[in-house]
Amino acid sequence: MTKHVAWLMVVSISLVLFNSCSSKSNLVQSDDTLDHIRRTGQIDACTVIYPPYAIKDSKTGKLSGECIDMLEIIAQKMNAKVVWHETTFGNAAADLASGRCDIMAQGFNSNIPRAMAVAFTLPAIWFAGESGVIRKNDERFKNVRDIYEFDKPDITIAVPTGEAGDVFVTEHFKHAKIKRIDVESSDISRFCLEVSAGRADIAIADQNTIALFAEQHPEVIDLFHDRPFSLNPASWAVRQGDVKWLHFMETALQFLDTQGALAQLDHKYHANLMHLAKQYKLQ
Amino acid sequence: MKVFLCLLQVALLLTLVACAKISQDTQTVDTLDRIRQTGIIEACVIPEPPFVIKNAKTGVLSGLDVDTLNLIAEKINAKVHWHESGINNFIADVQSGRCDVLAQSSLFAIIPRAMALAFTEPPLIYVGLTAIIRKNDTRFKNFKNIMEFDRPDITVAINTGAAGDLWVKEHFKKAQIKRIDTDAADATRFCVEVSAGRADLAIDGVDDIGYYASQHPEVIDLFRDHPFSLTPGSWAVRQDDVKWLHFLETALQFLDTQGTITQLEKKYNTHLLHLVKEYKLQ
Repeated sequence: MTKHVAWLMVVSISLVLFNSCSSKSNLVQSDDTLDHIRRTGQIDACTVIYPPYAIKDSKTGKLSGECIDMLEIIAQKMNAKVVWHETTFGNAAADLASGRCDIMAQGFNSNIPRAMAVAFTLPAIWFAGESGVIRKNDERFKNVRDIYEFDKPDITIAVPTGEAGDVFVTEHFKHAKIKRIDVESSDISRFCLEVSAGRADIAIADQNTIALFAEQHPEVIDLFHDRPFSLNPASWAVRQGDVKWLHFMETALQFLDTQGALAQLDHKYHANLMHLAKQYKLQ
Repeated sequence: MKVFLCLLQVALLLTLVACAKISQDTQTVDTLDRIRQTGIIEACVIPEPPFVIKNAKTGVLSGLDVDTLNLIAEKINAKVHWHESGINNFIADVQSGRCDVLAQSSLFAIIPRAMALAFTEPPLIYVGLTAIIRKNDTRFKNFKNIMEFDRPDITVAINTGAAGDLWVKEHFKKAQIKRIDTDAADATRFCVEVSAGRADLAIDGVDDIGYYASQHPEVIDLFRDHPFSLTPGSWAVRQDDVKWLHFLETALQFLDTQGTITQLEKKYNTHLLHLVKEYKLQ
């Protein structure tokens, strides 16, 4: 074997090995959902049926609502199609981590423990306080001014599992009995029916859900309608490390907000949700 | 054949070294993942009331930033290991991995620092600059503008590397500058130069200067009601530590929205500027 042939073989073997290890390094690179969407034209989105963010027509199964419209507008501008998947507040992080969804398009409370598992779009899209319903004829609470007055052993509180009301009572209530109702894919205000039916004394959730239920159910009162407690930021979420997709979404949401599209959708769906007030001025 | 085998061995060795280098280069910092595994946040601070207060007897830390990070840690079942840093070595402390975060909202997020560290957005506070002079120094009683102090016969004391230092470097051409290193010591030590008559003026953030003036009746806080040069202040992490940065931004947003930051400022009797936020139904 000549020296030239030996050199040629050694270089070839090295190139093959080097290429193999550099390909492997590409595989361990972080998620790039944006690139995947560019190639496939498909966004896999998770949502929780939770008005006014996501509403499901019980006859046709068709989805509508503020988050549905928002993501459809964004997808249209990207020439992409949204494939919707139903999830729950409790399962959303796992659905993102497993790749079932690329985004959780819901008013998802961006609290600190959740931020350990998912990356929220910043700044928050919505800010929602919390409220509670009691039965109108329940004389025991007619002078109650502070939500903490309900933290007693003889009080039963209904909350939707994993929602802001659940997070609030878990953190702040030590004595009351907590009745967690899983509202996945069903009527989101089902936990409020526990109060109407006398199986709970108060139901706590975000102010919008409580307001919607109280509007439809004359037997209850929205107790903190004018003075909601515990303001929570809410936003969309993606997988941690999915940096390009997160940044794209933040830019898209900023665009919709600046153009007034979010305000229009709030009006369309009669959303009782707060936003950070922005003022634009000539300097 | 021997030559071939020898060359092959060398080539394999070089390939392995190259592969190891690629693997090292493609690894990204993931502090959040490490905190999940260990339950420990390594945090640097620089004692500077009301942001970071060190009990002289016990060494126990408290203050606005200490309480804020402890609250965040509590919500993720983690514990904070506190490390003292200094204005001249905090960048190296974060970059070297001694700390995961410089939890000091009085740290000014200025452009040269943003070349070395990633600051949390939006800024936590906004701090203007002010200056102290001796109360009995009648030379300056009609001075209205800080630029009037830029004279060869004036000595300005500043805290090395702090906002006052950065500001005088950029704006003062004639005055004599006396830089005092305050690392891990009393952060207002440079102000003593004015009290002792070794400097005519000391310049720094309204928080430090205001604190010193409140404790030292021999000086006047000259620009207390109309500070100059508003600067944003924030926490800082390593530049490529993307998940950890994003987590901290979300956590700080949550505490701000819930009113916790305001409560802590009341607790420490601080008066800091913030971006005005108003929440409205659209």
